[in-house]
Amino acid sequence: MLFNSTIFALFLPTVFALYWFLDRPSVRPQNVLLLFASYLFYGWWDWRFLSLIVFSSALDFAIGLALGMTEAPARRRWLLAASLLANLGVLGFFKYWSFFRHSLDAALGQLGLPPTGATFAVILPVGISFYTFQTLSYTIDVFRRRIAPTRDALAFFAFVSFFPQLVAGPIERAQRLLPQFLSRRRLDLAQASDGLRQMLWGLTKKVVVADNLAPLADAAFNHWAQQDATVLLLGMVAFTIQIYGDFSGYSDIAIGCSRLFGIDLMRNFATPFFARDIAEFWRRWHISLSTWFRDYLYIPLGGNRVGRLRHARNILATFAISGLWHGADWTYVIWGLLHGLYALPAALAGRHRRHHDTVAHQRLVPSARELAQMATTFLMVLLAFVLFRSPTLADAVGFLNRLANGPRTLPQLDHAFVLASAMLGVEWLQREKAHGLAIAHLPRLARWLIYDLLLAVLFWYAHTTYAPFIYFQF
Amino acid sequence: MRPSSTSNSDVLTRNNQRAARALAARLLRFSIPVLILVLGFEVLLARLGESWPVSLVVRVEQTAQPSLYGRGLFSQQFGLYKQRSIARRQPRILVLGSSRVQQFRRAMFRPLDAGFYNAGGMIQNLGDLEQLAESIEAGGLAAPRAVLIGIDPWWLAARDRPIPEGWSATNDAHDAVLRPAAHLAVARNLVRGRGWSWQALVAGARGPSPYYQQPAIGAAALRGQGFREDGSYQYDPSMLLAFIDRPVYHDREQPPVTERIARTSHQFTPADGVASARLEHLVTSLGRLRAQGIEVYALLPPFSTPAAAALDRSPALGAWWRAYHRALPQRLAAVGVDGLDAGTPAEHGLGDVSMIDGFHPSEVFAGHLLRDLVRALPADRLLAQIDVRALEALLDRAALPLAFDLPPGAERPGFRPAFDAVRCARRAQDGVFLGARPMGDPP
Repeated sequence: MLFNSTIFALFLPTVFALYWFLDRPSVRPQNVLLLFASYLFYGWWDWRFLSLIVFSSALDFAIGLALGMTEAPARRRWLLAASLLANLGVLGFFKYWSFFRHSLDAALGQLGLPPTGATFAVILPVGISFYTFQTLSYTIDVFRRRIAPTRDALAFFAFVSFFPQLVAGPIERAQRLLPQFLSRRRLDLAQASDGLRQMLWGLTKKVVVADNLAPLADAAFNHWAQQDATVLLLGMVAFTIQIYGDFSGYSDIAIGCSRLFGIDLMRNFATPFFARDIAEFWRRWHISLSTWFRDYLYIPLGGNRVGRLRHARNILATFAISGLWHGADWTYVIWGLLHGLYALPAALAGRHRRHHDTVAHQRLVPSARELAQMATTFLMVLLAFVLFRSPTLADAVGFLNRLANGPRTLPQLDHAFVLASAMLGVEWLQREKAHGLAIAHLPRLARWLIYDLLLAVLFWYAHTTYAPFIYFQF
Repeated sequence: MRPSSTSNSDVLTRNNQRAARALAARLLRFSIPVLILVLGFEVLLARLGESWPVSLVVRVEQTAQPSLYGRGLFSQQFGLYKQRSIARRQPRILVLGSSRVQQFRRAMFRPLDAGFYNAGGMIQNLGDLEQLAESIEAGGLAAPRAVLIGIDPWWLAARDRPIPEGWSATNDAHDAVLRPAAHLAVARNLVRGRGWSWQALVAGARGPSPYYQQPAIGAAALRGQGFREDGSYQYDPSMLLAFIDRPVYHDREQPPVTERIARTSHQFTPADGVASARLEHLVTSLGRLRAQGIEVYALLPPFSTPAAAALDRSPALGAWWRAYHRALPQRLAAVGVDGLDAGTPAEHGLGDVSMIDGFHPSEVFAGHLLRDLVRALPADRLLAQIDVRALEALLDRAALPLAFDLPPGAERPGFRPAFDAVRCARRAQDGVFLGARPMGDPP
């Protein structure tokens, strides 16, 4: 079920009404409903893959209980290893089977050996990377004794499968989200209204901005050999803003939707295009994933509390694996590595935490220096996204080569760029707020005028062809 | 402690439920104007029949008086509509092919007319034909007794493209009217004033089509354009009115067929000849139909004289065009399929005025084609039972080279003189229409 589908427009009010109707001293009825609704939401796409979520939930629930019953370090390590092996094994099989097979066949070919001969294809279950990481965070945190294992299977299953963030995050930590399934939820009218506003803003970013930019990006990346360099440049910009509109739009809808159920999800995007360096960019882009890798990979590897060489290795390894998380292809790995290389100099010099505040704090216009920093960061991100979007490394190299040497003509500015500029303009004005439509402080008339304006924009510019969220494939 | 905790819990429940109701009320208050607009729009579409699903249209067509189905705002869903109609009607005589065979009408097939249906538009390529054969073999569609199939030259063109996989719209869920996004697109087009005005639609929603007094299902049908109950296609009567005003041939296709040929675009992208693999694919599919006990009649639909000449002269298309007229009839004759290569109107004693455009014959021309086909058939063939005299009488009564009947607007004073001129010209030629001649300059 997609957030931008009619069935979801019927599903959400129904679940909302039933959910608050079932509000009782015990949270069990609401959790039963959430679990059922989440499985229905996921099963709408393909019910067969529900078994994977059930398997993952059951395994980690059981391992959590077992961890709670033993103090023996060796046994605890074995239990954690079992969880990691099973979860990453399932993820590896469904997501990386073809990648590993192709890579192995290519390596065998280089050595003059015959290919493996394994030719079956594997369907990638939607959201597997997201819920696997979420459930893994539980086991690891129980292992580290940061949280106590839960004995409430229903709450745990509902936590793993919570439908607003099931298929594309934010990837929540058990430490933060699980307690919300164990205790009573409170519906705050102001918070819920703001949730609706956040959903409206997310929907606008997805169907008005991202979906209108998509054809420009597709034209550039799918037919780069026939395009002018200017078209390729615009295509790069289009894709970069498209993926932001698409994914941050999804996150906004997920967070806003959760607030209707009295559940608070973490922020996933914080105006990343206004970052002044790469480190700040990654503190603002896909925050739930960046912090996951920081906490469960980078820091366990030693983080920055090691020698410079190992520190550099930790950064590059974390970024490379983060790239691989996005997709089973070398393009993603190199995209991650490139970001690692971007981040390396400042990290090694200890200057990677310079920009913790919001740019141009309490000012409307940034300074020339801030502007230059933001433009430089954006250009670096733009360049890296060529690798992310290109089907193969050869395509990425060809794309960049044509970008540098191809013919240049005066481009025609598509209306999609006007819409994208408007979105970025709003986000600039709202950059210190939780989302672009955080306007609770405005008078009612002004708010209603803004809603009407957005509805008119949606009516006028929403794409009417089927366009799933990009991050579903990850 | 317990009573107090229960009481706190009750308060929380009350607060939560109150907040939920308040939120719903707030949302509803804001949405009411939008909902009213949406509801009004949907009621209008439903009144017009524009948003009726194909399955409903097909049901209504069989139960109500003869109607005209033509969507003007949503996709027509040719394939789905014709499939569902065939499945429901189980016709004995079935016309198949692209839009180029859509002018064969029930009245031409007497006394076999009771089981007639024109599924023109449903088969656009060899993949569609193969899928039809499969559906009949599998029992999904009942086997008719006879099939008259129009075979377009581009089905057989030797091009570097695979044969399409067949129609996709086999499922009612694919109907455009069931997709809310399509409704949004329609509303947006209406607001932008593309093709249709709100005023005309609102006025039209009050009664039946002003043309021929048929109940109209869909906005295009209101204009008198769409599928008749027998599956044949009725063109926009304004085309006939324009023709009466100025009765000369011109290519109404957009872009015109001769222009497509000159630019080697649309159906006329360069081809080296007829692909033998495609020809055999066609023969195999026709063989599968015949194996089900179906008599198959092939028609190579006509082109206007300028279009045929342009194809013949074209360096990129000439070889293909000539091979189509040579190889296809030979191959069909070799496997015992009766047929007719329609060629141009002149080969049937007609002028180009009997063509709607460069490659669509009018219903009158279609009647002539059927007559010529039937005359050439051996007596033991099913279509040989068609009453040629009745067909000729029908042709003789044709009001115009383009249509059997006059559109209602033709009675308006401005149209009468030109209409008389058409009739005079027709009488002068003893029932034969001559094309492209100004009516003020009789032959």
